[in-house]
Amino acid sequence: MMRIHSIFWALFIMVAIFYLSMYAYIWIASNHILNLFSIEISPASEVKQILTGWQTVKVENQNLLYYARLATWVDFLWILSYTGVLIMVSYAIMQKQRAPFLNNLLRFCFLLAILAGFFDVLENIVLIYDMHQYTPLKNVYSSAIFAWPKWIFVLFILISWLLSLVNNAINSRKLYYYHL
Amino acid sequence: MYIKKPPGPKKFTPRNSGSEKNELIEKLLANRISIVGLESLRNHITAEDLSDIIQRIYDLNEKYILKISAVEGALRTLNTIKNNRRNKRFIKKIQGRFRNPHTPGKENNKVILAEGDSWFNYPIILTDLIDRISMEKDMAVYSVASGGDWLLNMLTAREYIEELSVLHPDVFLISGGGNDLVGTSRLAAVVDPAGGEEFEESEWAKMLIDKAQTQFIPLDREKFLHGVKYLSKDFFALLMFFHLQYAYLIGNLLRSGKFKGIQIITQGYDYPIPSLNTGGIKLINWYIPFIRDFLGHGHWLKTPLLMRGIVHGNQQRNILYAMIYLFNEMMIDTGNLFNKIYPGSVYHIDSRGTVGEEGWADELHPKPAKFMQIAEEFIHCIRRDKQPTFDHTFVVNSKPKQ
Repeated sequence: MMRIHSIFWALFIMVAIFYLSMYAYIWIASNHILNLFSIEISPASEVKQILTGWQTVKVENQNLLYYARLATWVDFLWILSYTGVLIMVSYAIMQKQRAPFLNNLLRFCFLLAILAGFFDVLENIVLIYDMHQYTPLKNVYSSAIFAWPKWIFVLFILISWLLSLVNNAINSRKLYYYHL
Repeated sequence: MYIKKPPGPKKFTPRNSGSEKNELIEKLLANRISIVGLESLRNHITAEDLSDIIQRIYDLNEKYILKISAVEGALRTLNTIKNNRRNKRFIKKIQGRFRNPHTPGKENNKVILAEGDSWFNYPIILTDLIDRISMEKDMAVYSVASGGDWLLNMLTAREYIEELSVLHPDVFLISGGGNDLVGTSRLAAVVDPAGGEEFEESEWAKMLIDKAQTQFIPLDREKFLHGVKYLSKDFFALLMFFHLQYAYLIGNLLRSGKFKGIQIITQGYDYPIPSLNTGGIKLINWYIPFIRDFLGHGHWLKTPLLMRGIVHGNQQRNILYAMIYLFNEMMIDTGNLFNKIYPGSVYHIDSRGTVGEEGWADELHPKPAKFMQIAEEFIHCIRRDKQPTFDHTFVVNSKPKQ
């Protein structure tokens, strides 16, 4: 199990490093930011604008759209790693959470992490379709219908962690004063 | 389909032919042993006798019994993963000078060894009893518990013995017997759909119930009498066998004199509800249909009872009520025997009636909130910050009897 944990964390860190390096490279080479979040949540009309814009931005020998496509393919690895990490961290916090409601909420986060990953896969499929052989005449679709639930689930998980950590901190303080 | 017939029991060859002990074993197996007889047997029982008894109750040879009782495959791997994680945390605590009786604030820290079944190690998703106890900063729990483990297997593998002598724990937690009763559809073998008078024949079981009526947990006589009549002589033999096993384990531990002041804590489950219901679609409790689908729900209780033609829900529940009532009373009685000789050494956590109708994750396991509620009682018992409800028994969510 430790090996699986390590694999997930290693993958998570490696993909994060890859993204940071790629964004830094794009920034240095073109003075542009590859804002994938904007395309995830945009309606179809704006998706077209964004993709057309990316097509015109040159980054060395490629355009920004090439890097957007690359980032979306790598995102499948990212999905795998962050789903694993969200579950592992939720489990670790759950095993320290004495309040039954929060303990159960953290267990619910396992499901939300899987759903977030699932919606992210659907979102990527839409984006890859949109980016594939893109021309301004191509019909594109919005991935917002999958992106919003994904972000809501991730946010819910992070809030659950925060609530749990705050609850634990308050309780250990109470316990400390009780023992005094 | 060709079903390979399991090997039958070795021909029983009494070790001391004609001896009183063998006669008592025969009586125990026939559920015709007196209280005095059981007491005498308990005082002279050996590991070999226990092995002979179980082979004859299960009608299988020892090798085969150990094979079916062993935890194998994915479950074994998951158990090991969970225990490794727990034990790593235990070692970390110990390395932080957890056990340091001369340092203020650490003098009441407890080193705990846990041996048991899935109530102590439910390997995935659920927060079980040991998970909750381990959350306490003043408790370091080393676990050799395995989901699906039989009491018989725990006693044969003797894994806890090695850890006892290494850790010298302040507290030894044990939970076992559930899988011996319901594992591999054994439940079908200890019920009698025709009904009978075996309870009336068991002087010892009647004594347990007589004592119980003067204690704290109310006996629903109607439910009990309805359920108990479907329990066969093999159930009563098995119950006495559990009693002998626990007495053997606890007795050896206390008599050895190596573990002075050790506190032994047992538990005896709650009344489960036989069910085939997979739980439907749930949101917050999303895991319920998942674990019910994959982990044996329906095969422990409901299916074996249906196999024997016990089809009415009420009848099924009353049978389980009688079984668990007797099991808990047996545990309390076993503990009391030792508390007379070694005062304050054995405690029982009684969770009868705690889980309720809606509190079960599957046929045998409470939902995490209920596990946590029961674990709180263990914590009180370990810390000794609450009086037992009566004698040496802590009844979950109760106040001590005045």
